Amino acid sequence: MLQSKTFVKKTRAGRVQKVVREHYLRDDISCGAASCSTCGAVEHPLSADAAAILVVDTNVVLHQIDLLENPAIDDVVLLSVVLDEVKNKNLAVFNRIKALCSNKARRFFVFTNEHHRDTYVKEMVGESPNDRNDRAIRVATRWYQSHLGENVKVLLITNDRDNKRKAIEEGINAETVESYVRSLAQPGLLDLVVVSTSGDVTMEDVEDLRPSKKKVIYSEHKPMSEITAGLRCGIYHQGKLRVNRYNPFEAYVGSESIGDEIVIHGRSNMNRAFDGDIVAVELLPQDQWHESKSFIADDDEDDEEDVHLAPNSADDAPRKANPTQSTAASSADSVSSRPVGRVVGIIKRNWNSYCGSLEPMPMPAGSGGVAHALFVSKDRRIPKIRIQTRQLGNLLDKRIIVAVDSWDVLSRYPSGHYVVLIENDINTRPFSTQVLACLPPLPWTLSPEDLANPNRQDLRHVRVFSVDPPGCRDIDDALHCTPLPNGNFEVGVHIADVTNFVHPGTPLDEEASQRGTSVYLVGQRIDMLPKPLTEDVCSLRADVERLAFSVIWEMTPHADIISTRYTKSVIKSCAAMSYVEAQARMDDSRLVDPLTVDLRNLNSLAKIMRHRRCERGALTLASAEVKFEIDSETHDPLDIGIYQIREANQMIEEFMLAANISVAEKILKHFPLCSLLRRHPSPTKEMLEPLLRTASSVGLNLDVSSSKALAESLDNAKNDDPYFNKLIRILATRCMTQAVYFCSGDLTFSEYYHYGLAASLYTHFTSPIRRYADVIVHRLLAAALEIAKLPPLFQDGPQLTGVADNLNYRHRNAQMASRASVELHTLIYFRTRPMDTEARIVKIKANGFIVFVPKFGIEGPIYLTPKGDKGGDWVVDEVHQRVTKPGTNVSYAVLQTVMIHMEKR
Amino acid sequence: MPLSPRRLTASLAPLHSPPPPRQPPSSAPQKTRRATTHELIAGGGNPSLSRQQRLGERGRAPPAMEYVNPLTGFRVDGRRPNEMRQLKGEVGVVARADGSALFEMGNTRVIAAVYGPREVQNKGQQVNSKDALVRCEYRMADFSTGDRRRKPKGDRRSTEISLVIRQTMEASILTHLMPRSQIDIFVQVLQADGGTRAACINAATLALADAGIPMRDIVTSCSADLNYIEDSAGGPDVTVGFLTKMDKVTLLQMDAKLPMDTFETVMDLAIEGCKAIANYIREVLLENTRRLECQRDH
Repeated sequence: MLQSKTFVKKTRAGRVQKVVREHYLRDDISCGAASCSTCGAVEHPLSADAAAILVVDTNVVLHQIDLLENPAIDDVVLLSVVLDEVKNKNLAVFNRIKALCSNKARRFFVFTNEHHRDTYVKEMVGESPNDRNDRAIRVATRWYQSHLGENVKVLLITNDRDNKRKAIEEGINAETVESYVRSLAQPGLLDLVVVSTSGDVTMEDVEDLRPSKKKVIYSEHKPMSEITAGLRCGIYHQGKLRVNRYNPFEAYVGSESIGDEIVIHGRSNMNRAFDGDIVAVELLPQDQWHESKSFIADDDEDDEEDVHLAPNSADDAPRKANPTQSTAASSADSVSSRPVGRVVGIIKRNWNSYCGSLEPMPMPAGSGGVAHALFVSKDRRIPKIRIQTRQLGNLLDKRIIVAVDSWDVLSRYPSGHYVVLIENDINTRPFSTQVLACLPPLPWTLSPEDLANPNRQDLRHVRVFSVDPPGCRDIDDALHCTPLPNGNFEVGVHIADVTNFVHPGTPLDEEASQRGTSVYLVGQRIDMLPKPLTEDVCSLRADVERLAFSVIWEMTPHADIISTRYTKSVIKSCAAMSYVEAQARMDDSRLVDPLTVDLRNLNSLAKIMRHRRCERGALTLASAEVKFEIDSETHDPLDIGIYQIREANQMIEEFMLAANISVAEKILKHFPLCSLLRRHPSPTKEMLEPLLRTASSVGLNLDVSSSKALAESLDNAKNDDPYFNKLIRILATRCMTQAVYFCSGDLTFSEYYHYGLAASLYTHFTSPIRRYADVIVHRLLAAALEIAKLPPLFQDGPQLTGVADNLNYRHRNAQMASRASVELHTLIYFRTRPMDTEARIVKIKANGFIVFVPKFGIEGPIYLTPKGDKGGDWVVDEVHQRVTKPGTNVSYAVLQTVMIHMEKR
Repeated sequence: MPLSPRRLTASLAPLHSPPPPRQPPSSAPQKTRRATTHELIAGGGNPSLSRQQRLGERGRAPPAMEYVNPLTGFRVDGRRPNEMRQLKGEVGVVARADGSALFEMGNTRVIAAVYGPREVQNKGQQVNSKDALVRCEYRMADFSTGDRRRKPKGDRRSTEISLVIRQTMEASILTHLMPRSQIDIFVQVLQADGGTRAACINAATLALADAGIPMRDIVTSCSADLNYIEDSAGGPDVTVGFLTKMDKVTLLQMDAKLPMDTFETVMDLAIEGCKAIANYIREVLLENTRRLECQRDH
């Protein structure tokens, strides 16, 4: 089978080195076609009755991946040379095409042409690698045609004019993407075709509908060689472009070379850069640096305004929302010390798919033809995107996802194409049959084997109960508290034993790992695990026997932990209470039943633990969580209010924290290199600056030297205003970064610290039904107890880090989605109920300020000037965070209470 | 200096996984496996050297890469997961030596020369007078890797491999038939492209057979990678020396830590490889014998 070997050369980065590799050519690679009798392969992904077998080239995969993902395109042969090129060029596209190829429902076949004896081509002298690969594609296509005979049409799909011409000369059927899709006669498909702007292939029906606008709007990007040279000699500065969330026409580039942020004003200076792009920036002459005043977005072309939920952490808000030293416009002598620049080139694009909707527009005459529409992203940092569609009627007023393809110097907006997808990259699709096949037979009951398992302790006799939010169906934690004869307490935290049902490597596990977390929306939940597991088999409901993973402590009445043990268990919860119920029981002094006594014992322990935690410097942060009452018919919100935190909530929270910390200690002891932990990085001085500035403007001095110092000064931050303390805490919370999952091998011990909880170690163990991180931790703990073997994942550091990163990503997306859901419902609520309410100023801008409405937890801008006016009459006092109108005594200061009127416009 | 992949794999492996088995469990009672387990000498040898080796063998250094392309089922060089590289063996390549052989596994090329049995040169080295003294010297040619750097003689890595080869060959040579004599095995790597240890042992076996030194069995060696069976990355590989007819393991080396059951499969695979190599070596020897017969007849 080993036919021959050839040598390929390769140079490695840095040193030029000759690498000689074996390259085996073989004659046993099957063609994957069902109509083929000679190969004798077992699997035939390509159907026998296919109209044509398509061979696609690299650029088709790279640019038309959305089209390929459409089920209408099938019987596709992907050559290994194409896959290799795709992998080198764009890993994201490679992963998508990989998923397509391994999807059994799709007829995609990977043909290893590079190792087939008949299709391997050797690079000719003077031939570029690209030409060689194109030739390899043609050779493979021709081989397919001759191999399968005349009955099957093999079609090379390429948008490269040269390649197409050569293919036709060599007698190969070749077509462009456009013409092929047109031949399928499915108008919807044509929208997915990315229109190439490079002019590879003439587009007969695409004429620019706006010839008057054919003028150069943006300056050309500098060629890469010039950029590199410029970077080297210091003319240009490299950095990531971040667009101001409040004003999409202002962006910052954090540059290491000058150690400061470069401000970029206006779209033309941004020169087609997107948020997140790595750009090269040229500094403008110093006399042009003065316009750095901060506005709330109000440019003439983009005058939407948003009401936002208050961000919960620094990650949500731009790091420096305001230029710090911006000066009053009246003081003519001052020039901002912040450098101002313009983008000359883009080093790395951060183009993604964006979610939003089309700008309302009239249906063009002759519906069904090509219409040009403007897409408005939900994320206002993203400019409008021009798309071409043939199904405008379908897309108007819908949430759609659009991918950016290009941005020409001639056009004001980038152009893209639409892909229908889901917002925040959350998978809302129902679980696949493979996933559902992994479920235990239903209805599930406790089996004798589970009881006979020596690793599983029978705790059914223990008085276990759960306390959760009202209406909670996915109960993943329960507690017990038994007084011991020596006066101590046995306290147990029982967590649903999800890993007993979700085994590593199964489709169910992979799906859960991908989803990462359940997503909670207003009145709706997108599960991580299928419903039978989430709501029944795993859920620790009352009066049924359930499997659990327990952490059991012996605690003194002073809440000192004497011993900790961990065990898998069988429990039977005696009550599933809501927080309100539990609170009512504890408060009702007449009740002396054992359950209530347990609750009270737990509560007194929890209070001590909480106190101790705060002593250590744990921060009590605040965020305004909103609760809705939803009309069951129309799904419109009926009432809105701030979520109330009770003692019972804090009690449960305290024990969950304790269980998480105990588990973190245990797994880290056994697996110092591959534990999944959670850390919360300390905020930097820079991040806390907005907080300090605000606080000092109202005469409050905060000590941020440590979390303990901050906690104390937050406690002392009081004045006669009852809401003042809460407001300061909310502002403090926003300055924090988000806590993240990480793999213990990647960091040093001192970096494991959880700032917010003031815990040296922390992980997530207590919610395996709704968080995948907890599932991983359950497996680690089981392996630490030698109950189960550690899955292979943990032996691979980079892969584990990848899982942790995915969890962080999903977690963040889930949070953003639930915030977006709350935002939407808030807006629906106010649509019909304009009202006056009290609000607090949280940020001062040159032409207005941002207010926060405590009652509803929303935030929005208030303009002091008419649209388009840059706020000339108002003077900002940065030191006191105050905006004043000269000549009058009207002024607004940060943290001030104002009455505002809210209504839908 | 880049980190040695050996160190890398060792540091990636979790601390908890079962330690490398000192005694491979004999699953079948009739199989008696004698194992000499050589622990990894971490950091031994020239780091860039072993990196080079790895690079040659599987194409690239980072362990997170897939060795077997899950879409095609082929490795980067076009082999299927359980296929060996192309073998080539030739005897009698060094005229002056009593026995010699050239052995190739893919691009790895090793030459072995055997002198002896002859009188013990240094009596001090003789352990006992009943058995022959087996000595082995392993060396990498300066040009064996891409970077033409002088390979120091007697560094830790080559000392270790010399020892490994000597012990493996000693287990197969009938030393008691040649008392008070010594056998010198010289192994030189001409081109290193991974799996040099295994190639050296195979070359030494061929050369010993060429020299007509009595052996219990043909000892062959093959290294199997964890990734041959499952494409979880990492790449700890297991080198096994095996007496085919006697079904005995004479060498077992592993760089990293592996779960027990995975280890078993990897080892079985390596043994399969050893058997295949033994068949090939036998063919080469038979061919050689036939040739010699021809020459004698004429």
